[in-house]
Formats: sequence, structure tokens, C-alpha cells
Amino acid sequence: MTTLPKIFLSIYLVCNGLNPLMAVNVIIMNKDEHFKIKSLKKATYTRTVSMLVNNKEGLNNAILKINYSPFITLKHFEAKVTEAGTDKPKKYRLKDLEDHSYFGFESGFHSDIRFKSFVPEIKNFPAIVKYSYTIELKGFYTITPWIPVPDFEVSLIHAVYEITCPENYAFKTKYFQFNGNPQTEHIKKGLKRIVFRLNNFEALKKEPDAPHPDELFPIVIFASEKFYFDKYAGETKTWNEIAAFNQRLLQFNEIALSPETRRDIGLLKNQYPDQKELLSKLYSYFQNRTRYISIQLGIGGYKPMSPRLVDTYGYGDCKALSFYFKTIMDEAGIPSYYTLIYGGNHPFKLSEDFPFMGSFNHVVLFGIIQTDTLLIECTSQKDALGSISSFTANRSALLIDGKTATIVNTPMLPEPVINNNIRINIDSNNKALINFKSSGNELYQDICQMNAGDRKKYLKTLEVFEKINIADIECNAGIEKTIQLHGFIKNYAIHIDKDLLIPIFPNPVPVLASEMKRTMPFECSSDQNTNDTLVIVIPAGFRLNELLKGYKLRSKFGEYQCNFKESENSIIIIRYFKSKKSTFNASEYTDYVAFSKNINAFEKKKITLIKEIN
Amino acid sequence: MKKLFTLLLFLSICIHTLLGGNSKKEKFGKIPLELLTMTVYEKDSNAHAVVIFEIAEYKVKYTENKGLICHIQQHLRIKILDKEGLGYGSFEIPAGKKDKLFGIKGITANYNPITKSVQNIPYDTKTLIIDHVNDYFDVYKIAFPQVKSESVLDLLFEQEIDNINYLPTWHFQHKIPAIISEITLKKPENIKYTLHVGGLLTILEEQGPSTYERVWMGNGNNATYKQDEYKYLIKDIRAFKTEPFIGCETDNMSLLDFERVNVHLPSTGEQFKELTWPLVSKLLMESEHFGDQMKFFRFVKSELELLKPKFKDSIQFANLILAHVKDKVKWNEKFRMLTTKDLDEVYEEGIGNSAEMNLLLYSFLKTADYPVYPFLLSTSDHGRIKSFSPTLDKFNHVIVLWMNKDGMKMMDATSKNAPVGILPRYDRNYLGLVVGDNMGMLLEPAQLNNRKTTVYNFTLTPEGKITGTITHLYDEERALYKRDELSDSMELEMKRKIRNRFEEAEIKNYTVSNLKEINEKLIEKIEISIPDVMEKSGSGYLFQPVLFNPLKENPLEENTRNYPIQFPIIHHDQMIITITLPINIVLLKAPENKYFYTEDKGMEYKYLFSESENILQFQIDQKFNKTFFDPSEYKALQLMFDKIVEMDNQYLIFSFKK
Repeated sequence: MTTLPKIFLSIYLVCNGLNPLMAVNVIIMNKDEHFKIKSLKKATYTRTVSMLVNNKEGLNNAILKINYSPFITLKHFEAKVTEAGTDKPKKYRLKDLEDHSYFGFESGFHSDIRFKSFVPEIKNFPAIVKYSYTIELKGFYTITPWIPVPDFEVSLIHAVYEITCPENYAFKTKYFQFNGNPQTEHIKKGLKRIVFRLNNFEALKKEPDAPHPDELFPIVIFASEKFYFDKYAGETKTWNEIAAFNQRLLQFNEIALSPETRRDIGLLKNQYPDQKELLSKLYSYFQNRTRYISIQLGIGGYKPMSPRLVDTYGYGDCKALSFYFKTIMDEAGIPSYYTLIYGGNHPFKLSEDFPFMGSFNHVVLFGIIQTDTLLIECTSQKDALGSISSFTANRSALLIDGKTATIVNTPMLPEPVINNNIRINIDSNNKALINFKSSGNELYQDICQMNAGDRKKYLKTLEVFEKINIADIECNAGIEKTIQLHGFIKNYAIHIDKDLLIPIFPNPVPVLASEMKRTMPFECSSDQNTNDTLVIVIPAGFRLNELLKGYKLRSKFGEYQCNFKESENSIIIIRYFKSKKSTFNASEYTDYVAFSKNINAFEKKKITLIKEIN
Repeated sequence: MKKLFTLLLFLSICIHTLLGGNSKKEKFGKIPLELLTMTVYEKDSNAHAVVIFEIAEYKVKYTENKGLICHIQQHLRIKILDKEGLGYGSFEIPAGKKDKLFGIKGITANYNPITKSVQNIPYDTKTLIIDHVNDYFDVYKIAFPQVKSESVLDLLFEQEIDNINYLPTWHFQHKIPAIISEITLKKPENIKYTLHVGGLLTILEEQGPSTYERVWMGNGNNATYKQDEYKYLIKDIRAFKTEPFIGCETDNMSLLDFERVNVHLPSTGEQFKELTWPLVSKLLMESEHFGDQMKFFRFVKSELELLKPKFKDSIQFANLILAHVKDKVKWNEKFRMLTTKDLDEVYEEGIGNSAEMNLLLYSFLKTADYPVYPFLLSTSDHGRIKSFSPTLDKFNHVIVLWMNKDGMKMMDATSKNAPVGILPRYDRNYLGLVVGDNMGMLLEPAQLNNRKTTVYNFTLTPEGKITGTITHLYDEERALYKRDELSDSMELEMKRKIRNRFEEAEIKNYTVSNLKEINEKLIEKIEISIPDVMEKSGSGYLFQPVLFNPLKENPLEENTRNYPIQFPIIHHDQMIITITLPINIVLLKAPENKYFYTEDKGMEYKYLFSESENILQFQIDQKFNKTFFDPSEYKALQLMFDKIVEMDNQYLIFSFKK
């Protein structure tokens, strides 16, 4: 029997110019992808991969999830898995794949996309996994992007991506961390081939606070200039053409609103002549009669349900609800624009020279009130009109005005300033009784909308409150977004002999970074601007031994300051901490660790009270 | 938004007179106005929605074309109480591929403030989505129209089920409270069901009047049979809320399962048999997917000969056989109590489910003359087997029981690191069933001591630096769990854990002994030095002897407890800390020895301190001597954990000699 000993891995790496000391989960020996366009209505995508899976952690990279739908068919699949200690590969065919709907996978209420999954059964590592599959596309928006290295701790020996298409098929290309030159050749009359290659990519080690993988791994994306999908043909050379296509999807052969809805809007319009006030009333009206349900059917989920259906059923996804509210605003005479956006972390930055259909996953509205513009999120039944969250703030979006597109920037979130006022009384059992008032955190708005039980649970997940046993919470979701809680921490103070030792803070600044050898840039976690005023009431019979000295620290990573003063029977501590989200080089990490450690070391100190002797 | 009301059981219908014959029939779509204006459910003011009633009828009946079927009707009414409850306006109803779901009717009732009346909006069945989830079941997705934060939803549907052996589970309890939940079972008198009751709420039961039903038999003939009726009801059902150490949630949720026992068929003369544990064993022994696989296999004999038994009938040889089976056959991660293939095929292919692996192990051991039996289990996430409720349906796994003169030993070939006598965590779920000819007895696998001993041997320097070793010794099932946890990156993981606590810690050496020797104790040894473990404070220096993983918070923080507290295994954590002090340091005050325990010593905690010259020694023992604590013992347990938090986090105070 032949086996795959660990030494094989080292030899293989050395022979391919890679560092054998680097512990990798997977080595992709060969990855061959081929996107073959026969016409706008027909293409195939084939992927053939052979990889060495070194351990259990690497298994995820061998697991496949292949989506299919009425427009995508999985035509062929085969795989072979050879484990350490065996010479007989286990073979898999198309029939061995498990078929799933997205039910139970948190994909919303319903989607017509399903998937087939391949999970290789590997018990003994390392193992060689080879697979190949082909999908057939009956129409497509653009060419599948090329992501040769899928993950951290994955080395790659050789990858090739080949696009075969008619001579006149045009597309734009955008490179991320890739500087190879694609080769273009004419293979036969009317056909061309474009080939991208990547060799010997050394695995990237996963490090905390690293930039998003899209900023680290080589990626090539393609934006086709023409497309055909589900009976829709169109051009996407420019953002205007993308707008025109989306505009076509918003055409419906029915009256958009029921007579009752039109009557209600009319009544509101008469009642509230001021547009701002009218919009606010319309938004409440809309929120009270709709709810968000994600149903993604047809045309790749691009076409919304009609406003008439939303009007009738009272639900829809982001497209449907946004277009429905736009219809309501139109009826009321308030201009608004259907706007494509990317919701969530790490949005794709839109650029004029790269119109790309795959830039978006969400729809909002831009409303115009007199001279003000307002971003309107239509999927929440609770948020206030115009409220903005990190989901859609501070990014570019595509505003559609008929057949014209405009790239707009969504508002920045105001810099959060969190103010905490804390009062602590120590009881005779060393328990800290805490009265904690906090304002300015964006999260408090959501917390205020929770019931008492959920609030408590949620607050316990936040570092700032995690140590506190919360007894009760009061909430104010107004502009200040304030919460006030009463609670306690058992064994907070340490009673030793005649001394009573009290930690400085019940909510210390968390450890920002820990020592490690850094190879990658890092992101300073988040924007923080926190002011704490803490009053520790000195228990009867004790006096302060010595007032701790204040501490001040300023660096490119942020500012920290903490001062103490004694006032009557209490100690007042004022702390200020500010940090700014930004990216730093790996070489700056040591300084960042020192910054974190210094704060941490200071905050570990305790205040000593001494028992008074009568 | 994923708060759909999933009807894991589905059911029935038209409303009958409730128990005692004094409740009234609820008419579909007739929603009382006061229900629409209700904004809070007084018995649970945190609820976002409440089930007003959920009433079903299961009718098992003879049909001319399909033989026996179960016809189900269900009527459900839900009141939405706030915007958080809007998710309950959508329903997902699973149904087997062969089952029909039909007659869906829905109404959203909203309050019209202008007319001060109820406005009913019918559900449009054109919007019904059927999701073909996999080869076995579909999900019917129903999104109600115009659902608002005060809506009342009325849903009615019917279902026809071919397989009457296992009727859908009826869940009385959900994540939201319910006012009434009632299930009526109608069935021919000669068809018997065993009822499996889940949860802690009391189910009211009533036998209704019997009726006579007629069925056409073809060729102009018909037959009459007697139909029995039983009702099961709970009122004012609290929302199910999970609690720490709850075990399997389905053991605690109130529900009812119906498992068919047998049929008396006059034509064949077969008699009705009460489902008993011996009968379960007998049925399995007669099954081609169980008993038939326990036969003699020629390949087993020849493979055994290759193993060259040197210690016949010994635990060493049993371990050798167990390792051989694990080496030859991989587990496909599926728990099953029946085989899907013949065992020679499984052996040839090298992969199998849990029944296949362990029946293969059984065959090897049996052929080697070991007195072994298959032992049927329900895994820990699959709900408990109840001694008073014989079942075939509730098992999902089978392992092997070896009864020898020294007692019983269990073994499970699905666990890579478990030797004979040690069981993986998923096998620990109270009772299992011994299967075999004339068998069928319930047993609980014997509990082991499962000790983890941690020895800290430290020297404290005058500069406040600790140097020394930490040794973890894992025994029995603790060793198995730890072996399962360890991976190629174990050293890195361990360092990360230590550095999370002491950033400046220097780990000089890390060794793991007996990683592959699964019959031995697993030993993890760390040589470490940690600077600045003492904190200067006031007149002295503070030192926390429980350096690593002190219990920071009481895991039982809620004031009340609804469900039993369950731990997977009996276990004993022992910590022995030895600290050698420098000669210029003195301990100002010795900690007090403590011994706490619950009334029956189900849980014990002992803290012993001794001091000899410059050596301090602590021995801390925490024992769980049983795995199941009644809710009435909650306060005592809570108090125990409170004390452990206090003891674990206490400081010693030192001063320097001048």
C-alpha cells in the first residue's frame, strides 16, 4: 500500500518554490477553470481542481456547494478522494451529490436557487481531492469571477482561467492583487481565447484584524457589455445601460395601487401640506401595512414583485418594498429614486469606468424633500424615516432616474460619542451595586425596541456590560438613544485584612491586540469615542489610602486619558478613549500592541481603601 | 426575521367540544373584536405573539382505494402583539413526499378603526410556495397577507398521510405562549398507538364517544368498524424558553407522539400485541436490517484469524477488534439503528452508518466468542428513552454491550478515540435497550469517575514571577473528549488560551503523552513562566491561586427554573496547586478550608489549604456525582456555583519581610 506521508507535503512545497515551514491547510496543485461562451444565451463553466488537503481545517476548501436554478444546470461532476494510508481512491459521480433547497439555510423565505453539495469523506489526512464539474448557463449577466486562492492557509501551485468567446463578445476586466498579463489569442474563425495564469502563491496566514480577504487575495472580475437572461436582453457597457435594464424590470402592466391606497394617500396629502411631514406620515403608513419577506424568484432575483401585489399582500423583499414605497411617494408627488446598493460590510466601490451588475445586493430609495436628500430604507417596520445604519452608510450606490444612472454617496454615520455615567456602591459583601447610564450608542435604538428579557440578554453580549448582573433596564430610543440600568457584580471588591481593593472600572477597555508575529496589515477595530464618568462611593468606615495617579496616552492609534479625584465620600474617575478605524502596516503592529498593553496594565490597577480606626 | 411559525407537527381541526363538554366550537374566520384590540398577553407580557388556539384531529381510517390512511385537519389562530411578532405571519409546514396537504384556508383579521369593526383579508392560495427540500419532504410556505402588529391570523388546512405507523408529533408548546392546544385522535378500535409524552406540563385526557364507520370494500361489499376517540388538551401553555444545562430541548418541550403498536386483522387471525421492550427486541431480531445482519459472516472469521488472537476473551483482544473495525470502516457521520446494506458490502466499501459499524463490531466479537449484544440508544441530542414508554421509533443509534464476569462494558466503533468501556458524549443519554433473543431489557450504561486532575507546581520568585509546570491528567471519558478536541494546532491553541489570560507568559515546553494510546490517561504538560502575577495593592501583594479558568460567573443566574438541570456525565475535577514561596515573602492570612455539598451530595466542592514552611498547597475538588438534578434542587446548585465563583476568585495577600 502506498501512503501519503507528511514529508510528501514538504517535498512538494520545496519543489514548487514554496516555504515548507509554512503550516498550510491545503495545497491546490492545479486549478483549471474554463468559461466558454457559445452565445449570449448559452455558456458553460468548467472547473477542474486537484488539491492536497492537509488537515481537518482544510476540509472546508474541498467541500463544494454548486448552485443551480431554472437557468443553471449542473451537467457533469466527478471526484476522486485518496486518503493517507490507502492507494484506492474513493470515486464520486453526479448521482452522489446531495440535493438541497435553501430551506433551513437562513436564506430568507424562499428562493428558486437550489444547490448540490459535495462533502468528501476524509478521515485520514493528508488526502488528495480531485474534482471536476461543468455547469451550463441558459443566459448569464456576466462571466464568473476568478478567485484562484479561496482562503487563508491555502497555497497554490498552478491556476489557470480560460475564457473562450466569440470575437465580438466584449467585457471589461478589473484586477485585485493580480498583476499577471492575460494572453489573448484567436483560436479559430470568430472565436477568441483569453487566458489568466497564477503560479506559486504562498499561503497567507490568518491573522486577527486583517483587512478583508478581497484586499489580500488575487481576484479578477469581469463585466460583460451585453447579456441575456430569462427573456431579457440588454447592454451593460455603461451605468446608464444598467439603469435602463433595471428600469425595464420596474414596468408592470397593471395599476400600481388599489383605489383604497390611492384614497388614503390623497387624504394624507390633503391633511399634511408640508412635504417633510407628509413623507413622515406616508412612511408610517407604509411601515404599518408591510413586512419584509425575502422571496427571490425569476431573473436571478433582479425583478421585484409588482407594487400592486405588495399593496394586496402587504409583504415583499427589499426591491419590492422599495419600489412600492416609491410608487406611494410618486402618488403623493414626492420625488424619489430606486437605488441599487451593497448592504453590509466591505461594499464594492463603484467606479465610472467599470459598470458592473454584480456590485449590488440591496435596494433603497433616495427621496428628495425640497432641497434635502434622504436615504430611505424600506425593509424595516420600526426604524425612523431617514435613519441610517452601518449596513448602507458611507458607500457609493447607483441611483436610477429612468434610463439615467448616477453614482451617489450615501451619508456617513456621525462619529459615535458614547457617554457613560456610572455610580458604584460597595455593600458589606463586597458586591458592587451599579447604576449605569449610557447614551450615544447606535445599538441602543435596536435594544430599546426589544422586550425586557431580550434586552437583558443582548446587553450581556456587549463587552461593556458583560460583567454586570442586570436587574432592570430603562430605555429611551429618542435622539440621544439612552439606556439606564441597575445591576450588580458579586465579589467586585476584594476585602483583605483592613484593606478594601476596588477595580477602577467595571467596563475596562478591552484588550485591543495581543503579541504575535505580524505579516499582514491590520485594521484598528472601530471608531470609538467614549467618555466615562465613574463615581465610586467610599463605603462607611473606610477612607481612601492614596489617590491613583492619572494616566495619559496618545498615539496614532488613539488617545486615552484617565484622571481621578476625591470628592466628599466618593472617588470620581473620568476616562476618555478615542480610536479611529484605519489600516496600518504590519511593521506598526508592535506599537499597537504596546498601546493596548499600556492601557490594559493601567486599568488592572485597583483603588485601595483602608479601614478607619476610631 | 426568521421567526416563522413552523408546524413541526400538523394537525387538525374543526373544533369540538372541549373537555367536560363545556367549550364552544370556534368558527373559522370569526374573530372576536376584543382579540384585535388586545395589545398585551397578560400571562406573558414579553410575548410578541400568542397562539389563541391550535386544535387538530387525526383520523385514522380505512379507505376503499388506499387502505389505512390518516386524515388530519388543523385549525390554528395566532394573535400578533407587536412588530417583533410580524414574523409569525408566515408559516412553514413540512410534509412527507407522499403526503398530501390541501384545503388550505387563511384569514388575516385586522381592526378597522374607522368602522371599528373586523376586516378579514383572505389568504390567496396562489401565493402558496412548495419547496421541495429533498427526496423525503417538502415544505409548504404560507405568507399571510396584510399582517400588522395587531392582526389575528386564522389558518385551516388538511393533510392525508399514508404511513399511519408514526403520526406527526403534536407540539403543545412553542417559542410563544399558547392559550389552548388540543389534539383529538380517532382510530379504528383494533389499531393501537403507544403515546410518548414529552415535557413537564400536565396533559388532560378524555375518551370520547365511539362511532361506527362504514368502508366500501369493492364489488358492492362494505364493512363496518368501530372508531374510538381520544382527546388530549393543555391550556395556558407558557412559551418554551431554553435554560442552561437543559439537555435535549425536545425532552423538555411538551409534546405528544403516537407510535403504532400493531393491528388485529380478523382475516389473518393476528392478535394485537402491546408494545413492550421485549417485543421491540424481538421485532428488531426479525428485521432484515438488524437481526439478519447478526448472522455468521465467513469474511469475519478469516479476518479474525489474521488478527491472531493472543489474548482470547480479553479486553486487549476486544480493543484490537474494535481498532480493526474502525480502521477498516469509516463512519459516514450518520446515526442509524438499522443497516441499509449487508455488512459484507459495508466491509468491502469501507464506509457505513452507526448501525452498520457497530453490528459489524458485534459480528467480529461474537465470532470471537465474546458474550456481546447490540445495545440500542437514542443519542443525547435526540431525546431520552423513557422506561414507561416502550418504543421502536425513538432510537437512532446502536452500540455494543459486552457482558463478562467482571460486569458490563460498552463500545462504540463510531468514535475514533474511544477504547472498549469508554463512550463518546453522544452515547450518554440515560437508558438504552439490550437486543437479542429473549432480551429486551433497559439499562443505563455505567457511569465512570471521569476525573480530570490538574497539578500546578509553581515557584514564586521575589520579583513576582511564577515558574513551573502545569500538568493535566485526563481519565476515562474526559480523556476521550480531550483527544477528540486535540488537533495539529493544539500547541498553538493552548498557548493562545494561556496568553489570553497572561499576555507575558512564556511557554517553554509543551508535551502531550499517550495521545494515541487511547487506553491510557492523556497527559498534557506545560512548562511555563509568567512574570508579574502579583498585583501590588495597599500594604501587600495580591495573588490569585486559581490562575487559569476560575469560574467568573454563576452559570445558573436566573432566579427560577422550569426544567431539570442535566450534565452529560458524572465527573470529578481536581486541582492540586503547590506554590513554593521565596524566603522573603510571607502569607498574611491563610484561606479557610471549605466543604460544600448539596443535600444528597449530588454535587460536592472541597477547598483544602495547607502551609508548610515556604510551601503552600491547595487541593480543590469539584464533583458531580449524578447527572440529573430536579428543578427543586436548582437553588442548592445555584448556591454551590455562587460559592465556587467566590472561592475561585479569592486572592491571597503576601507581604515582603523587611
